[in-house]
Formats: sequence, C-alpha cells, structure tokens
Amino acid sequence: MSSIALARPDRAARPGIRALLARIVRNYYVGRLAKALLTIYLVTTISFFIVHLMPGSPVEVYIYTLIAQYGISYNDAKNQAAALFAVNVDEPLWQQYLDYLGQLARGNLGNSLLSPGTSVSSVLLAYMPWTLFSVGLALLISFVLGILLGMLMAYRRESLLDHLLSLLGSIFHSVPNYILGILLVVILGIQLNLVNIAAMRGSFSPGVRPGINLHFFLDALWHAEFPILTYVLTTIGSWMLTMKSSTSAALDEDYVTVARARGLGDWRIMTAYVGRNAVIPLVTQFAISVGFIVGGSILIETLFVYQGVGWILNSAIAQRDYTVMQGIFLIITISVIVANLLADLLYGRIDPRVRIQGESGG
Amino acid sequence: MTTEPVIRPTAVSPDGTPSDPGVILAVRDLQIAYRTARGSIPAVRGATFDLHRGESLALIGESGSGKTTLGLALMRLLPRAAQVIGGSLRYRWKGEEVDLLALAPERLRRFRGEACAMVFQGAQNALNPVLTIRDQFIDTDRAHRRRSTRQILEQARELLRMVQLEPERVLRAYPHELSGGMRQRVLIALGLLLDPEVLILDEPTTALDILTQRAIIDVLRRLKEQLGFAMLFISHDLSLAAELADRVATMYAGRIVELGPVDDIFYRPAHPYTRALLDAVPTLSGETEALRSIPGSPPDLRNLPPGCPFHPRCAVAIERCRTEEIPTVAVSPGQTVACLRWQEVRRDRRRDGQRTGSSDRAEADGASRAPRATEGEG
Amino acid sequence: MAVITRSARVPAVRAALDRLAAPVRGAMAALGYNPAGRAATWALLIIVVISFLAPVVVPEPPPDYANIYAPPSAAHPLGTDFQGADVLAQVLRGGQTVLIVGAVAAAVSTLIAITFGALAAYAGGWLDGLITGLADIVLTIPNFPLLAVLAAYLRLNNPLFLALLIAVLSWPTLLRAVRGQVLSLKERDYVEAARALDLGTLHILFREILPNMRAYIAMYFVLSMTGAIYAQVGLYLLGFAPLAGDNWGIMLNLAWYRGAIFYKNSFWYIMAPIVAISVVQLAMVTMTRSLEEAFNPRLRKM
Repeated sequence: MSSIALARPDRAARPGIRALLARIVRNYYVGRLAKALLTIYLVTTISFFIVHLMPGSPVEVYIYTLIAQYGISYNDAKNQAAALFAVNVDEPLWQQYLDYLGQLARGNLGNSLLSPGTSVSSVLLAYMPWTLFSVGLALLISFVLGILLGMLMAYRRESLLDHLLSLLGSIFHSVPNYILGILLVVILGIQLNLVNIAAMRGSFSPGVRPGINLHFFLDALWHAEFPILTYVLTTIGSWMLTMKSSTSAALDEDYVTVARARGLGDWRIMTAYVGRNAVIPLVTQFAISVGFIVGGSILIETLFVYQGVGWILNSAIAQRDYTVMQGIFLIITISVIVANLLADLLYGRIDPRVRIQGESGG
Repeated sequence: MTTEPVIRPTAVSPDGTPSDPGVILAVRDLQIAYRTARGSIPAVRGATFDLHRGESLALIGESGSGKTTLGLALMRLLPRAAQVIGGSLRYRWKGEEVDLLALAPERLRRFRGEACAMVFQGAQNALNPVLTIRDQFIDTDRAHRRRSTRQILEQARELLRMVQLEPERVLRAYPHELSGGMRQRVLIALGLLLDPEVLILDEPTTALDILTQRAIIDVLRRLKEQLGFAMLFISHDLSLAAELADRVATMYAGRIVELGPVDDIFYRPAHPYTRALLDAVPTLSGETEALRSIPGSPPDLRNLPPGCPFHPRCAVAIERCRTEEIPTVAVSPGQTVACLRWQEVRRDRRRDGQRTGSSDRAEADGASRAPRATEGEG
Repeated sequence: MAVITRSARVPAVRAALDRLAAPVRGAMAALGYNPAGRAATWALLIIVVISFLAPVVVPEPPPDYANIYAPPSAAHPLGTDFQGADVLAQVLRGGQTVLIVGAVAAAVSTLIAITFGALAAYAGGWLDGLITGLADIVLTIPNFPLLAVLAAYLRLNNPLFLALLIAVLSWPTLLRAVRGQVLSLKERDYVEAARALDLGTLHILFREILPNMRAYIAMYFVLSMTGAIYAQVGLYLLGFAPLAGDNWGIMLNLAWYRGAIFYKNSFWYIMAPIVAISVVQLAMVTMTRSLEEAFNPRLRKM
C-alpha cells in the first residue's frame, strides 16, 4: 500500500489454511455475526436459568397449582408441566438445559399455560406480524423524515426552522413515549374529538378479512395510526439531531470543497458526498432505535389495545403465563440482537474504511 | 497604494494589460477579508499579478501570508466567512474576457475544472471516502461532459500513468487505501481530467516525505511539458519554486512584496523578506555558517502597523518604512518589488558576488546588518 | 484570650464553608450555563420542594363518592378523581415516591457503574473482558420488557426494591462511559506520577481519576434519573408495581383504566400527573444539556 514499492515479506508463503482462517476470523462481517450468535446463546441460557432457578420456580409453582386446583397426582402434574414448559423436570438441570436448547432449535417453545392446547410459537406467529407492521412502518417513517429534516437543519443552520425543529425534537424525545400516547388519545381523541378512538382499538376492524388486499391494508393502517404516530414522534428527534450534526461535520470536510473545485453539481454533492458520509453514523443509531421501540411496544400496544407482541406480553405477565412470557421475551431480545447485527453489517457495507480492517471497534 | 502594471518577462508580448492574449488570468488589487466575531481581518491586501499561458508561477509565503486565501479566491472557493472586498479578477476563457467575481453560478461551476482546476493537499480528506477513485473520475467528467464510461476511464488511465500510478489498482481503490503521495497524484490526475488551462496547486508537496516530494515534482514538471497548462502553485517552500517556477512571487502579510523571473528572485532579490527567506535555506555547498532565521514573528493582521508590514523584522528598515505607504516599483523589466530599500538589498547581493550557498555576508558591510538601522537612504 | 480564639475561629469556619460552597457554586454555574438550564433547575427545585413538603402539609384527600369526576372549582381547582378525592392534593403529594425512587435508582446505578467501570478499565485483561461482555448483554436486552417480567416474578412491595431493580438494569451505559474515560486518563502524566509514587490503585482511582470525571458523572446521574422515572411510571401504568399509596404513576394508571379520559370534566385528572411527569423529565434533560455545554470545553482540554 505504500507509494514506494518496497519488498515485503511474502505472507502467502505460509500454510494456506491458516492464512485463510485468519482472514475469515478477522473479516468484519463474520466477526459481527459470531458476536450476535454468542449473545443470542447467552440470553437464551440466562432466561432458562432465571426461570428454573428463581425462588418459587414457575415450573414448581405450576405443578403445585395444578395439584391444588385439579387434585391430580404429583407425577401427572409433573408430566403436564413438562409438556407445557418443554422440559423434563426429573432430569438434572444440565440435562434439562440441553433438552431445552434442543427443543428451541426445533422451534418448540412450549405451550401456553393458560390455553394448554396452544403452542407458544403459534401465539407468537399470530401476534408478531402486527408488531412488525407498526414498528417497521414507524421506523421507516421516522428514519426517512429524520434524515431529511436533519439535513435541512444542517444546510440552514441557526435559522428559525433549525431552532424550532431542534426544540420540538428534543421535547418529544424527553417526554416518555406512553405519556405522549396518552396525550394523543386525550387531546386528539377526546377533547378535540378528531378521531374515533373506540373504534381504533385492536389491530383490525371486526369483520374485515385478513389478506393481501388494499382494503385490509388500509384498515390495518388506520388501527395502527396512534402507535405509529407515537413511535415516530418519540424517535424522530434523535434522528434529526444526529443527522444534523453529522451533516454539519461533513459539510466542513475538505472533500466537499474539492468537489466544488471539480465543478460538481450541488445535487450530486448533497447526495453522494455530504449525504452518504453523513448517514454513516446513523446506522448505529438505528440499532438503538429498534431496541427503544421494541422495548416500548409493551407499553404502547397495551395503551392503545393494539394486539401485537407487546400487548400479548403484557397480558401474559398479568396472567402469569410463564411459557408465553418467556417465549415472547426471547423473541423480542433476539429481534433486537438481529437488528443490531443488521445495523453492524450495513455499517460495514456503507463505510468502506471499516471493511478491510476486519474487527475494528465498530 | 498605487500599483504600476507588472512588466512581464520578455518571453511573451510586451503589453501587460488584461487584453493581452498571452495573459490568461489578471488579478488587480485584490482585497479579501475574513469576517469574525471580533471584526474584519484582512487576509489579502491588494494583490496584483498576471498569469500567462503556459507559464509557471510560484506564490511563496509563510502561513498567514494570505497565499492560500488568494488561491481559493481565484476559484471563488472562499469559505463563507471570507469575502472579496475590492479589486478585480479577470480570466480569458475561450477568447472571451470574463469577470470572475461576477460570474453566474452555473458558468462558475463549469469554469471550475474546465478552465481552471485546483489541486489541494492530498493529505487527509480531499477525496470522498465512500467512493472509489474510479467513481470520482466519472463524477468529475459527468458534471461537465457527456462521455461514455469507457472513454472517461481510458483518459483516467492515461492520466494515472502520467502521474506514475498503476491505473487498475488505483481506480478500484478507496481513498483510505492509498498513501498520501498516491492521493496527491490522484488529485493531480483528477485536476487534469478536463484539460484545464490553469492548474492551481496548494501546497502540493507539504506533508509528504522527501522521496515522494521528488516524485511529485518530477511528475508536475513532465505534465507541464506534455500538456502545456499554466501552473500557479502556492507553497512556503522556496526550493519548490526553484525547481518548477518560471516566475516567483513572495507574499507577506497579505501583499505581494516581490515578483519576478525565478533567476532574478534567487540571485538578485530586491526585497528584504525574499532575501531573508533565501538566507534561511541551507544548501549542500557553501559554508556551514549559522543559518539566519528571520527574527520576530509574522504580524497580527488585526493590528497592522502603518507602513511596511515587514519593517519590525527587517534588517535594513529605516524610519520611512514605519510611516509611509510602500509603493510597488519596477526594479527591472519583469521584476517588481514593494520596498523602499530595494537598492540597498540588491547592492548587498551584488557585493556578495556569485551566490551558490549560504551567503558570506558576515564579512561584507557589517553596518547594514544591524537590525533597526536608522541610516538614511542608501 | 477568648476574644482572640473566637476571632481565630471565624476565618477557619469561613474557610471551611468556602470549601463546601465551591463545588456547589460550581454546580450552580454549570447548571445555569444557558438560560434554559437555569429555568429548568429552578423548576425542578420548586417541584422537589413541593413534593417533599406536601405530604407533610397537605393531608391525604378523602374520597367523596357524591362528587366523582367533578369539574374544576374553587374547592377542587383540578377537579376530583373516580372516588371524588381532590386531584390537586394528589398531584402535590404524588411526587415524593417518584422522585425518591428515581434518585435511589440513579444513585445505585451510578455507584455500580463507577466502581465496575473504573475497575474494568484499570485492571484490564480478563476482568475487563468479563465486565464489558456483561455490560454488552444487559445493554442489548430490551430494558423495559425485562423489567416488567422481573417485576412480575418478584412482587415488589417496597418502592425501594423497585429502585434497586431498575438500577440493576441501567448501569451499562454509564459503565461504558466511565471505562472509556478511565482508559484514556490512565495514560495521563499525573496518573503515571501517582503510580511512580506507588500510591495504590484505590487511591489513584478515587483521588486522581474520578474527580476529573465529576462532570460526566453528574450528567449521567441526572439522565439515569430520567430513565428511572420512565421505568417506574411505566411499571405503575401497566400495573406491575404495587398500586398502594398515591404517586403520579398510580394516578396515571387509575385515571387511564377507570376511564377518566372519556369524561370531559375529568380532563385534569389525567393531565395533572402527565404535566407533572413531563415537566420533571424535560427539566432534567434541559439541565443535562446545560451541564454538557458548560463542561465540554473543560473535558476537551483533558
């Protein structure tokens, strides 16, 4: 890589496999993937041991509840519990743990305690799409609007628009998201009577058949309005501010002056020179946003009675349905980890400086 | 301050006014100031010179002399805080004389790159980090012409070869994968992509190691021979001027204090500052006498004293230097200087005889060496 | 004789007071660095004073079932709740628990973060790796859902346990910041000097490095308090924290779930805790920003 062609010791002379392995391990993408898998594994383990080691382990509690309620024998209760929790309580804990992992790998998360016929996975599948829909849409809107406004603010620094947007953004960001949600309902729904909130409960109107059609999509969208609005308002502030500061930094860089010196057009400079460089730091912000929104979904969905994963988690907690609780919690955490991983991979894709160095502090 | 028209060297036609077809860029009494919270700071206080087709002009000065500001102004790339507050800037573009300061935005955009290209220091961030070199060549061309990618890259490859780089490897690379010297050469090649008539280089060899500096200098010299563009390069390094320039201008505190053919400047300098610069450069031959650094420090541009800005550090300054406006006078055909004591400066030089190394002035006229000499006009 | 000793004592006392006053004055200057920060600090101080005085001065408002959801009037400036109890009294009394739990959670979290962050940075090696790994995991897990799950398992009766629980999940952010700062300060000259003088690890940590991080720590304390209040009120809202007593979170829960929002008259029943909580959060965030502005140049010098 030096301008002077110095002779360098020839690395390729070493055994090919070792060099290849070294390159794989140092590769940025592989590193991030490995880290994500490790974290998922650790979280699964931790959640397993929390459930089984806590005072008054839910499994034991359930067994005794069954005995008390239905008067069945310990063995029968134990078998029922084993089936529901997808574990075998007789075996030593380590064995149970391995069984659990095995079941997990096969997609068996156990059955719901309250509706023993329903598997946790089916519960998840029923409610996840709604959360994905609202959260996904909200992230998209928040991101796009955020970076556009942020860039605008940077180009028009110190203007009225800049100050106003900064102020609004930080106010909405500081107020807790559930409070904003309540405010939206109270002000828009009740006081101003702009929206019929009673009808907006639920993820879709009764009688509307789920399917791939516009009518259903619009209906779903209408029901998801308030959650999406709340997510967007509470996260857009940080997008705007981050984009504004990174755009301002990019505008000051030498390569922008050089680009103008080369006679490049304003649009090209704004998109490929300023924009692309300014967006890079936002990718890490993205991962944080996902965590924030997913974490808040339990509150927002409960408030708006929007039947997604957050809502069902809340009712599972309230009703002590441990298997469902555990399963949903696991899925939520895994999706945040996956989102982080995607953000990391994306970062490597859009910032060429990171790729070659392999495991650099991303 | 009155300025007499610069008399160019006899190589080109005798008429020095902007309408002379040999002159491609005419700068008259250009004044540039920075707006700060603490008022207006003048960076360039009346610069006047001509750039002729195909000639190589070096603008030499310390940091703070205003040379970079002047360079940026020629392309109208001054930062927002800076403003041209006086003077004129005229360019002969395709036979037509244009006023650069009044150029419309779209024409200005085309001007940059097609008529006049600027090459910045390649050190850190002069190239967009997220685009490959190939894309940056294509960008530059697409902004001005409608050529196919193949044609663009063909020319790019040729230019890269001319600057002694391996075309395929460089085109595929990202800026951070190249060394400082390679980036500098890429910038030069980029600058020449659109066949400009003038190439302005800002500190082309600063921050590069000695070997790479040599390589760049050779490259520039060869390119100029092959392509015939006019070159204006800005530097603090006098030796660069010795290698590449036809004419040299020295700048101090926002003014061009001396301007002339390279030989005259080096062997017969007329301004104390130029002389001091020369004396501060060690050479291989000549005696190992103590180098003379210039005493004092560059002036604070906010509180410039009246008279000559160099007088506090000048070895031959007199009372008048402190109080009067210093006009620019012609020393000989082609050489001008802004100094009242230029004859004194020149006489010392002539007395020294042939200058090959650090001067043996010590045994020469000791009296005039005294700092704050208060003798009358020599 | 007595005259001499008394007059000798005065300057000593004054000197001691000055030494105490200095950091306080410093803090006030930093908080008031920009005008918004000044306003925010005053607002917060007023709220804190009210929240701690009110439970002493204002008695618990009695229910009045004849007067449910009454509109604002002279007797009840903010109206009444679902039981007919005065809303204003509840709001005034409702801040104490919230603020205490917030402060305790922030304090414990800060303590954990400082101790382990400094330790990790200073010790390095496998300890550092372990602590950082743990912090990473806790950071990745979505905070609030885990909190909700744990709160359900643990049946918290005492608000202070709630504070502890919140603290246990919120230390990673500050830990990383502390660790980063300590890592960079570790190589500074005065630390080298201290090490050369063999002053001991703890001494170096607590006397040399940490005092320089006062600004960071103050900022994160305030921020972590906002996070603790967010988590707390959220848990109350969902009903996962015990609904005994009256605090803003409980008010919010009751107002929402008893349908206060559907009556135009009871507008203030739901709005009062909202306004209170929002003002506190906004004030603290503004204070943080003011602190940041004030301390940044100094931090940069480091």
